[in-house]
Amino acid sequence: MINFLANPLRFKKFATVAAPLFGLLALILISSGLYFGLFNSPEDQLQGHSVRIMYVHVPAVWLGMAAYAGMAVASLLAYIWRHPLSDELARALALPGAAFTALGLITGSLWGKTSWGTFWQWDGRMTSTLILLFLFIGYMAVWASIDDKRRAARIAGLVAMVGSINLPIIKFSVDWWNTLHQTSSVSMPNAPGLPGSILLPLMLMTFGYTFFLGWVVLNRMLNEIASAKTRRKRPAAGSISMEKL
Amino acid sequence: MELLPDFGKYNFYVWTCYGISLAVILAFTVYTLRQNAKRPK
Repeated sequence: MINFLANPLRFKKFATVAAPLFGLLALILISSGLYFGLFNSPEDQLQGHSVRIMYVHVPAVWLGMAAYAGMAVASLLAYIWRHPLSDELARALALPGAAFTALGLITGSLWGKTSWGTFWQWDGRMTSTLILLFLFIGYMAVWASIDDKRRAARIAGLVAMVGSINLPIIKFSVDWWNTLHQTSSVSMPNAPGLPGSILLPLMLMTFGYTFFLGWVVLNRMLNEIASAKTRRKRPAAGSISMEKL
Repeated sequence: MELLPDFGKYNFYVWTCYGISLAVILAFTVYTLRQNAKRPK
């Protein structure tokens, strides 16, 4: 699959079909998730209506982490096979990944105020998630500050790969340290620990956000491929490495 | 079904979270569609 999509022409064909499909699925799933999350799900016995914040908070943080994991893997593939599409994938994931992480931090902060009485605490989960946001910003800053796109891709890729050590820290921070943050709401080995009426909007929003991220990323890559093609016709200083294809 | 349900003492927090989330999704949608419109053929 990776080899198949590594060819820009084949990728373009795939993305041209997949992007609108992802967009449509995102629209349906997010709309359904909002309906169930706001209008058709019960309030929690302990948290009351504030449990509804979970339906936008948890998917945002998951997607932020998934975007960073995707960036790290794509950068690794770019290091191994030197394929510029991998770098473009990593680059396309950065901005939406940062946005989802920031969204997770903001909604988490508001949820924290209702549950713990404070917007922020320097505990393991919150601090490591904030570091994830800084890593995204650092990654984008490298791309923005180095004119030679190949060099920028190499250094940014290194940031993505080294920074991925933060992902297990975020995941296990609630087990390793005493924190205000609760442990995992959905734990796979012993099945979801949530009732179906709460799990449904959570899953709808999670898959909706996932397809939305897919739609954004595919379009960003298609735009970059098209721009690179245009620049190849009109060579200019700072032309990107994809033009070598 | 109320158009904007009242979540009692959590009303402000719930609606702020959903408002910010939808604003971010909408911003990305508009930005992406605008970039697509500018995409060289």
